[in-house]
Amino acid sequence: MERISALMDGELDDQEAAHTCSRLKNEAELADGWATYHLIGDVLRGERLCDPALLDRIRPALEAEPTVLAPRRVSPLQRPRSIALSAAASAAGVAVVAWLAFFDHPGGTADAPIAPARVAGAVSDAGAVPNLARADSTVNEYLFAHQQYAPSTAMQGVAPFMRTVSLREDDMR
Amino acid sequence: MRFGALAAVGAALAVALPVRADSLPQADALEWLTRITTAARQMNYAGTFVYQHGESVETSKIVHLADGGVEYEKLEVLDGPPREVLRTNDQLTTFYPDIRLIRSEKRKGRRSFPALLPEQITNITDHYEVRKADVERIAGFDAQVLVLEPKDGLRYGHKFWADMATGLLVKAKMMGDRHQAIEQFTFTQLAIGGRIGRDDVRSRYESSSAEWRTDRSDAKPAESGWTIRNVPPGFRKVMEMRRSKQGVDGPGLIHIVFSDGLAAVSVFIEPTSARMRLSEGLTVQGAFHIFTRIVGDHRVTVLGETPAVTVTQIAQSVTPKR
Repeated sequence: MERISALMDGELDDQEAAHTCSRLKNEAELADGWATYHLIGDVLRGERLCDPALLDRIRPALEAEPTVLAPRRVSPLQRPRSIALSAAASAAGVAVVAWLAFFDHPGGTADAPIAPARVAGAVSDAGAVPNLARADSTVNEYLFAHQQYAPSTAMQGVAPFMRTVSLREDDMR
Repeated sequence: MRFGALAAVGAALAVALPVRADSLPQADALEWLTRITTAARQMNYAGTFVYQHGESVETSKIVHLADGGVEYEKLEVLDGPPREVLRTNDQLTTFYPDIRLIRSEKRKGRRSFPALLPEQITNITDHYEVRKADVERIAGFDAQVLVLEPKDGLRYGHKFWADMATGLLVKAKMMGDRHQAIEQFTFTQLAIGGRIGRDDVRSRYESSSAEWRTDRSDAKPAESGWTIRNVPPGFRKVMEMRRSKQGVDGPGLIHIVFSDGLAAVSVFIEPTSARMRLSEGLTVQGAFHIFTRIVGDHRVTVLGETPAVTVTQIAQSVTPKR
């Protein structure tokens, strides 16, 4: 699913995109994911049509596989799980935007020191900080590197690496 | 040598502070922190521990051997996909058998594995109330409870349970502002001392992993060309380095570490590339807060086991030196 999302985000190179497209054609689950991700995105944006900019980015990658542009209808019964996950991810995206908007107007230059009290308030007001719906492999590498220098590692040996190594296969790609 | 220095600081504290009646317990508690760090490096032990954060609970096995001045350690994740972390002093190797990957990392420049430095230990009391609490029983061991309450909202609280006899940490809990557990490590079974040999700290994939992909990286101390103008109180730079991956050219990844002695925050700076995910903002993963920002043509990622405000403040003040 990570691949689908990356494809949608225009993050795959040509070869990877072509590979993912051919998988999309043959694997029902991926195709469902493709449709579902788009559906959620459309709903969140308040439109049922795909974002033209997004389409522009995807189109070149899909040229070799035109059939994918007409994904099968997703049966409502098939998708509750991925909807829940993706909806969380999308909601997280919205929260991030709100969060950034907050920082864009602290009443000074963009990199002015921020007031800790206000930030803390903003976090608790929002209820929750977006959770990384799926671990980004770069972030995991960062977390792993960070762990080596954290005092918790001095006190507990490698045990705290537990925080970063129990990744799933998808997270490593 | 290090331990001598640590002990000397402990002793100095004990001598310097007894004038104030309330400082003595604190000095005592700090000495326990030193004991914990020392025990983690010097004791031989093998056990099973449970790691909890949020709703998730994961079990791992750990074996530690100090043999002839060399530390060997092995962590085996028992739940989910099998994972193994092996450490020999500063060399870390992680095995991911399901995806046939080995990640190997060697630290250069500083000899010691991260330790609580003496000045950090004394620094801790500036930002945490440190006290000794009761003795509780954990995994069959009588353990001294140490409580560290943060004095501000920039760091989390901690509770440590240290084996009375050896000082080894048998349980550790990190707590939020309402004392809610953010994460917790607890030994459910532990043997301290006993017969542990080199075979016990070897990877079970040693012979079968010859064909696996290996990602090698290393880190060297380096001047980064970046500065953090508004470091939260109590946090000090402990390391500034450049990380590189074998077979990958380019300027590499800048990694700057700040710590208040208990919590650490890492700043990662990387030139942006076409394939990079450039979303900005704050996210949370387990006990970590992560803040990503684009500064010019670089992506800055700040993460740490701290409240959101701490990583955010650091991220917002990352600036290139002119």
